[in-house]
Amino acid sequence: MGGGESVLLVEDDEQLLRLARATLEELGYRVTTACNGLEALEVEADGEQPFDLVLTDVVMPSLGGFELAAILRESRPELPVVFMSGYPTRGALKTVSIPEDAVFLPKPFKPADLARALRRALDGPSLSDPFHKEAAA
Amino acid sequence: MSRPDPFVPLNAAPLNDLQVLVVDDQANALNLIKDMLKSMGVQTVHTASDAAGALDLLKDRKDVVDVVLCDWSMPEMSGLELLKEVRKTHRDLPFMMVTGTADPSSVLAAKDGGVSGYIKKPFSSEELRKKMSSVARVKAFRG
Repeated sequence: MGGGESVLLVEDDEQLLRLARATLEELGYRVTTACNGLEALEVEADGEQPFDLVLTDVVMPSLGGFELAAILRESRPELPVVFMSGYPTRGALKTVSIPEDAVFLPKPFKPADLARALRRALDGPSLSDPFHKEAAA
Repeated sequence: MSRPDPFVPLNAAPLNDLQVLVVDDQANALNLIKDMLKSMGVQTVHTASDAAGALDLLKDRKDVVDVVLCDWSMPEMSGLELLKEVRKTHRDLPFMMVTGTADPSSVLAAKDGGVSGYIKKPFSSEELRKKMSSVARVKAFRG
């Protein structure tokens, strides 16, 4: 469950954005949304308080999730990021540079999957965590 | 020593290296955006009065423009049609639609076409600056 942490949710699929936002708020997170990577940079620049975590889609026009994460991490290297992807494994995304500590959330996902992925990114991995294995595949 | 602009974050990427293409068939609107960009320090502002002119500029070039600001409603080829054409060769180029109003089906079509964002008329210099700052961060990152 969320502990009131603030999440920047970046997703260009409006339906999924609404669903993920509602789920995150039910879990106890404070949510700010952006519908693409460039808008996420605007939102981040506007924010008075830094976000605790970024939950982002991977494939978006102009600025994808991996590049977005890398840009945000230039000023905050420790910023936790969870990538929502239609591609199930790291191996399917060979053409882009993926952060070593990437946490993946394969789409479609259930609320429990979302909750677990965020806690893993915020608290660090545990050996029984399926997302740890997923990212290493 | 001059005072820093209070609207510009201290860690903001500089806008002076940004290369912007403004596409609008209305000369007044085009010049207004150009002047706003120049006043915030953007040194290279290309302009095109129609989609054909924009495509000519972008043809076979990946490094001449960092962002396109395009009017939605233009005769002959609309902003949406230009977007789709540009995406065939420039997948990652930020492309922002400048628009007053847009119906939901057009917004959906632009999203499917790979639009990067919207600048809603009327807009302030500060709103435009924020959009350009995001593009400048991406440009600085990509090198």
